[in-house]
Amino acid sequence: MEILSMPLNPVIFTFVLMVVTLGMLLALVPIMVMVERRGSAWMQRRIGPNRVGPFGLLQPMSDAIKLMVKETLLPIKAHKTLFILAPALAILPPIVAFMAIPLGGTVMWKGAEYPLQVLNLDVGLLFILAISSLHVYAVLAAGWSSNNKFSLMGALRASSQMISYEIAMGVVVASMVFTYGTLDLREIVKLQEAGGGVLGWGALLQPLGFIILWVAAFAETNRLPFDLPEGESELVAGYHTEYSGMTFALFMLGEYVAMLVSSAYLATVFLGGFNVPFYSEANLREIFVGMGSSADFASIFTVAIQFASFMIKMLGFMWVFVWVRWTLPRFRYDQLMDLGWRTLLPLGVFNVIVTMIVTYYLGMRA
Amino acid sequence: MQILTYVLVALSIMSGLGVILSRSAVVSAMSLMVTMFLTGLLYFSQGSYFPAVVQILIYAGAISVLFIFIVMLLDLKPSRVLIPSRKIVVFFAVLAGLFFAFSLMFLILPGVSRSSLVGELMSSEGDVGLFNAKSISLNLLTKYMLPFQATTLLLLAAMMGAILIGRAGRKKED
Repeated sequence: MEILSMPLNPVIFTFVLMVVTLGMLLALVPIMVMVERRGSAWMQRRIGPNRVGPFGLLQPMSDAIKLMVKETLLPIKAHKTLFILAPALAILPPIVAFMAIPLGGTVMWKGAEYPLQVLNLDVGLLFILAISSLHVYAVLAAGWSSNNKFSLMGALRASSQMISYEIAMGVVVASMVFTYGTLDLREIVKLQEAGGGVLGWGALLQPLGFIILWVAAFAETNRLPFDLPEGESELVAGYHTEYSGMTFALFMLGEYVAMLVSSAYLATVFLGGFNVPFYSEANLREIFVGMGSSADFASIFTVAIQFASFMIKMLGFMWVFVWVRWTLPRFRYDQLMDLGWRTLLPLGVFNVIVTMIVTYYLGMRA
Repeated sequence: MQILTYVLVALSIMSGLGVILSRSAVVSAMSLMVTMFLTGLLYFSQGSYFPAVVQILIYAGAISVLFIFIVMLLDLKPSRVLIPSRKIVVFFAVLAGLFFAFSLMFLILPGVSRSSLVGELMSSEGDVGLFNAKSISLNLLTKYMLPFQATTLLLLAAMMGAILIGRAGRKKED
């Protein structure tokens, strides 16, 4: 018990938090794959995978084992360095980007403060956008190094789509900077606490920006209805046609972690992040102290509830990803470009101009 | 932290050499991206997060993608690239070296360095925390408004020039 009475080194705390976050991300991916398969089966009145373990819950395990023991093929005419590097490039940027998401409030322990966020940057809003934008290199490297025309076509489609929708995303983020007056994600979450309950949420202040960013998130993660880079009927499997076994699984992992990052970003910027509706961090602590716990433990319980609130919001967005995938058909490529450049971008610019005028007269929130 | 900086510098020099020494245009463009990204990390290691993020977002994330995209679209093979004669290469190498030396002068010479924006930010108590979004934007939009606007005009002119060149080529083909 002596260890418990000492304040913890913040570096050790951050390191442990980083490892836990990484584990959580990698554990959420197979769960999401399972949810997606059972969810799609449910929507299409099928049964879905239900044979492995109780209710088919061990199916992701068997999938993972299958992928790990499969042979990794290396095409003879491939550019070897880039071909091997590409899957690593697919998984790293989304993981690093997720580290900048605030997962909960501040833990108080023996007089020291530990914010529940691995990378507590003052430019988190831009950092996630910047690191996520590196995801496109995995697609480009994979498509080009495979030396396969389907892969190359898929890579070109994916990258032009990602670049186009990134611009719409950037414009929305600019209007969010005008609204909040800060780039710090923790600060943004605190500001959304202000309206009392859900009234302070970014989604109510910037409804248009919320919708634009949400649509762009689907295109950024190459999900249906924007999954043209891997349109099976035209391109076999797109940029990862030549990948097999674990190298393919890494692309899969990267795609799902990128979805988690998008969901977490949307939840943080527009739905109040780890805020619990109608209860501020101070309120929750008071409630727990009133229930008879010490101030330190009250802060831990508060953070736990806030983390649960954040997870509910994030997984809600994840479910919408699945829901939309099995509801809408795939776009045509010209429709996709049309939506990005002629609809979302002008709407985003309009949104920025309106935000600028309103901010000028009402002042920023920070 | 000192070691980290040296490692990053060494790596970015290596990837920079990769840009000019690689025979494949795609690998060359990829190395360019790595160089840009490592420069961003170098800013991170110095504690100036905003320039780092902007560097990664714009140079590594957007501009290099366009380079790679175009190179892949054109499918440049080493044999198809026109290699200029040695005289031209030497001429432009000397020109680029002189330009680089001239730019370095602004950072090294004490009198000159004080007058530039970077010099001013550095000299104000040598605090890297000043390289944050607020101080940079305040300086850009008040004291350095004219150079800032002149740069935007220059970029606009370059953009129009690029469109014009592209159009001229199309007319000839028809």
